[in-house]
Amino acid sequence: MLDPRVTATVKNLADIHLQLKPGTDAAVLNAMIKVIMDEGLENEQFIKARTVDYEGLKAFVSNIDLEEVQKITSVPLDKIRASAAAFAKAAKGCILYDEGITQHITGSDNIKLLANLVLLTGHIGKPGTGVNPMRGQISGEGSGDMGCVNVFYPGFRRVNKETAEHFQRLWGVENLPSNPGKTFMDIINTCKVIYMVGVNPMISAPDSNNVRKSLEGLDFLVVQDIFMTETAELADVVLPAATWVEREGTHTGIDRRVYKINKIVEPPGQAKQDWWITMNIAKQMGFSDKFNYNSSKDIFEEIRTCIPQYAGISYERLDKTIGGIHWPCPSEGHPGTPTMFTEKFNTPDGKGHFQSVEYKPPAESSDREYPFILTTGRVIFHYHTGSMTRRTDNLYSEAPEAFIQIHPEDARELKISNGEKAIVRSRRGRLEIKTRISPDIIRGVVFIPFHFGKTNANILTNPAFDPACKMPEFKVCAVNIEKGDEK
Amino acid sequence: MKTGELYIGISSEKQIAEKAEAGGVVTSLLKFALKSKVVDTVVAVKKGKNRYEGILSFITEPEEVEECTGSFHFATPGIAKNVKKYLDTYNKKIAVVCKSCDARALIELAKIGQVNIENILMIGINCSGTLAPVPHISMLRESGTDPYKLIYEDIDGDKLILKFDGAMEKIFSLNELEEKGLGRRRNCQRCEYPIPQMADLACGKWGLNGERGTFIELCSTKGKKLFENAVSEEVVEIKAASKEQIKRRKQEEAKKVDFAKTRQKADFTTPEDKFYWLSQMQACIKCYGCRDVCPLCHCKRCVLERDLPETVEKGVIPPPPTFGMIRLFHVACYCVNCGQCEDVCSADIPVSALGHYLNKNATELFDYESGVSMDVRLPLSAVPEAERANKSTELKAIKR
Repeated sequence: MLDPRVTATVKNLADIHLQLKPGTDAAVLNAMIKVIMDEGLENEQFIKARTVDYEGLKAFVSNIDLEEVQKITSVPLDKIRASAAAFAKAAKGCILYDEGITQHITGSDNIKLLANLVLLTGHIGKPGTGVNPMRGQISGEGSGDMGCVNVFYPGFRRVNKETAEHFQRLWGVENLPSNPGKTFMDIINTCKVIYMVGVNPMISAPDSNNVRKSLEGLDFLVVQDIFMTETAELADVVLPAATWVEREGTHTGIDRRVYKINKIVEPPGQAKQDWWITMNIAKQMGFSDKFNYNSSKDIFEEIRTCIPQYAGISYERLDKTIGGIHWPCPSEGHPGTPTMFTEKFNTPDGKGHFQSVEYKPPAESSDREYPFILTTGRVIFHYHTGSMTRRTDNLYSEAPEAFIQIHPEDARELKISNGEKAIVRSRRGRLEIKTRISPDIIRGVVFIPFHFGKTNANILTNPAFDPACKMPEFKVCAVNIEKGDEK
Repeated sequence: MKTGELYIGISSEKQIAEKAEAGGVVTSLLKFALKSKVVDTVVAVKKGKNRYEGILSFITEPEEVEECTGSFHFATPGIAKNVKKYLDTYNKKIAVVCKSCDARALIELAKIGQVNIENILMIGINCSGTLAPVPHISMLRESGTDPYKLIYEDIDGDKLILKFDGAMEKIFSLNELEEKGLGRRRNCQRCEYPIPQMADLACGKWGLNGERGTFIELCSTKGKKLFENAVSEEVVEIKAASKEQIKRRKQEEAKKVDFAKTRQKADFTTPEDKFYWLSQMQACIKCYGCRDVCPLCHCKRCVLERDLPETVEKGVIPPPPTFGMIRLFHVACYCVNCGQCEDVCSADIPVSALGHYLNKNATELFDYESGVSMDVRLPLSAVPEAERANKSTELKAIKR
């Protein structure tokens, strides 16, 4: 397990815990790749048959100084060697990852290295292997499939002139964009009118003080959500949406499994299903002929025509198939595809390409003024910005407020005792927060969960982003800490 | 008729007798109980979309009872808990189709006033054990069989018999499956009550050796009365069970009890590592699943929702190991080894084994067997004379 903290998962499941300094993932991964190559543990057969650029990677990796890696990352070399060997020698090696490794300015680099690891060891294209993002939302995969990403139209077709024309023909419209749209933070910082659906950037976006400035400066803000979130409080118009038990539709899980959810209760008050709301806004804009659905099933039928991977899936099939259907499912008779890349990859030549990636440190390092590294994340009792879990009594009572997790030695030097208030400052903002002293985190690093409105970790975080995808570096920024005032 | 007598019966309603898995006696008795207003509601399991989906149903229309015919070995709804939660047995009369664990749980609940046993007619069903659906669906799929074509399953001794649409049949050895972690739920493997004699009637087919019909034992006055009336109203046709059939039934029971005892020995042995249970509890994520499904949990305000440092501390994962164990201590005397807690545990902790183990210890210490009779009083609330006469401070088992 690669994690700066000893989490519940580490305690229960980890055979080896690589407790690294936040932001040094690429160094650890490059070291693991080097170890596998040095010890001859790579899968020669797989590399020969299904990859290219192995020699390039070998040359790059030969320059890595493992002692230096140990210094940079704080991970003992013997643990790096042991994990590399264990992964390479496993009958089935599987990588599960998520925001811990992607929410960095080198997030996409980190993923390239994970890809290198599975190509090197042949642990991909077979059941129980691969590089697998866990995702934050139940249908995060589904949203991506539908094209809710700035660089894709539905079905992962790249945004360009050709794709625009394809969908213009399909939908009978004109002037679809041929250029990629804006990413999340760009929308918040540069747009003047924003229509938000199920997102709470006041808590989830980095550098909350600036987010507030941006949102308060909008000409018009519409928020569609199931509860009055911190962001909805700033909206000009709030459109109440129905929750998952109050609607019929599908979710697509991280394993590309499409499954059906059914309506169990009526939505309260004026809350409506998301599609109904969007459809009626479109009708108000004069597009009744294009937005003319009677049910979510109508929309799903359209999805089948737009997204070839979904073409063989239907509500009827989903109702009969327990556990859903994995896309790609190109036709009605097709059983679905639980494992992808069994024969070739989605590259022009069908091969896996090794990519050499240098380690780059995070945007902000600790220094005299801000001597601690803050990393943010989650606690098991809350989900994301807490809009649902902070309204659930049992969960709220477990964790009603944020805390800052500090190593006992650091706490002693700061003269802060457990449960005392601390004042935490970064270049972006200031937070007054309760301490939780714990040996589960490394010295010099502190942790704050981001689920809370009043003690909002993102007031402190750095909006610096990965140039490839603009993912903000939530996981690393520099802070200073001092004892709070006695009150 | 007298309590304790055994009969072989078959439904007098021809369509039921033919359609039913074993002659439809239970179906007909339940219909009769509703029609003659002996009960207002029948609690039974309906088949869902397939053999893996059992839907616990509260039925008031006699005809609807026919949708519950058959034993669904892959469906294990928490019957006692739902009866306690959703039915007012102080004001309504119900009939419940139950396995021994369900009947025993209802009896324990009745002892603490959570249900009214006077208004519960328990039609007990012999049980060889139930199976978790998901691992077996996977097993069948991996062996190239469509699991959803299953139309019938049965357990006969060591054999798990699966019949599929298209006249295909597969037979597995339970022993072999259970060595691999498949087969019956672990608590079922430890169960020493295959025949539910604590219910009002105990129905099954052991001893019949393939003969069509149902063996019925009249376990209580209430059960005998219903049965007598059903027979005189010609709802079921009966004949007396032969000595040979009764003997075979007893032998089948004995075999299962012996097997259960060896499983108990295996599951209850304290491992070398005396901190085994403490480390098992490390996986707990406070989902409250075990507490929510346990039929015997009944406190209005549950101690597990409090914030007590080092015992049920809030905001900490894993919680102190006492979090998972407190419930087991609280229900130790009552635990009926229903296995629901282990079924729902998000962290795959074998809590049912620990609960059952504690119950066995309590049984020995207090000479108390849970769920076998209303007349066996709760050890912590009923003090027998012998115990009152004990002037010493030594804790030793006193015969009740």
